Amino acid sequence: MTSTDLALLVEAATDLFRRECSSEVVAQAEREAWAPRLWAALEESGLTRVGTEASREDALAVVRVAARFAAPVPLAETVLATMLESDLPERGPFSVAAGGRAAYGRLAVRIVGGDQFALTPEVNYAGEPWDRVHPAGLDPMLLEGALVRAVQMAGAMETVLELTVDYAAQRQQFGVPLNRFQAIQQHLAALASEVVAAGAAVDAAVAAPDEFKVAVAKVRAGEAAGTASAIAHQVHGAIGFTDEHRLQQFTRRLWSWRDDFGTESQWAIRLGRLAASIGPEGAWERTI
Amino acid sequence: MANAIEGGAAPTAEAALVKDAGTRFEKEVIDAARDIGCDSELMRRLVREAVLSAPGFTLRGSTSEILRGIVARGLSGR
Repeated sequence: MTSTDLALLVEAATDLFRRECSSEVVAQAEREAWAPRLWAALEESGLTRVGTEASREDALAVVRVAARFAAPVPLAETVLATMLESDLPERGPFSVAAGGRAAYGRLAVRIVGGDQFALTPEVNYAGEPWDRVHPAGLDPMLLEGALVRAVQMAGAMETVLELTVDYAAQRQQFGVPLNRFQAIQQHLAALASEVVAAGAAVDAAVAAPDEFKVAVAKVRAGEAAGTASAIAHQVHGAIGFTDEHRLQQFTRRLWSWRDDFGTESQWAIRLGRLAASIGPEGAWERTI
Repeated sequence: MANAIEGGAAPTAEAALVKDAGTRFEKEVIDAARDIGCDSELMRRLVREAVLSAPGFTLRGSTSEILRGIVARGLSGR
């Protein structure tokens, strides 16, 4: 696919999610643990097969768009499954078992990582299915899993930035918009730099997903997820974590995703060992 | 601070400083707990509760930004 095609794919996916994935849909999916209409719309559009029918970059671009809308469907898991296994049924959704968890496992027609799993339903911080599985499946620090979660974090943080900038422009305090206060301006700038830095690390990992770049992306996105969520809530004030506001749909996902497939601390240790083993020139080569 | 209040004073800046420092520490504790890892069911549950309620620590009872303004004014003797 050319870059124009990729832009068109992203635009088409964005249109679909804007239409089908409102914050009400996300809230309803959390109550009912499934969003069948959204999944059906994705099936119909062909986006659920993006993992098999498009390149890795294109598939991950769609995963990022889905995360911008906090899409409560196993699109990321389905793409992840296709990155790991080619022999899958024609129709998903799929899930991947790693480290004793399978996100959306209960809804998957196939769970990659083993033949038969005993499944205990649980949910993550965002109320998404995050089922316990036995046996535990693949490596808890699965490289492809870490990459997919880093991509999702980058997408969700883009929306967090947008929501926060908008809120600071609209909300008045002491007779002026919040964004007129220096304390708020400092927050907005720090938030933007976190989101941009994480996005750049994720872009590099998507383009060439070796262990080094994926580790950098997971660490950077995980750190940014914590800082960005904290700043966004601070700027929003109490409204940000009420059910009526969308912000919490994104931050609760960020807090879950940064822990999935290895926390930033675990990946930082792995990255440190890797950097030490390849030496200063090697590490610099891989960073630039 | 308790003594100052007892003695009829109103240590506003001191109270603001203590609250700001305290909520920052609260958040650091949660980060440390995440780093250590959540192997037991109890630990997992507590970390979950803490992560989800942490945003409120620096908002309720005056935000950190407002508190720091009070501390700075207190330091400048205004």
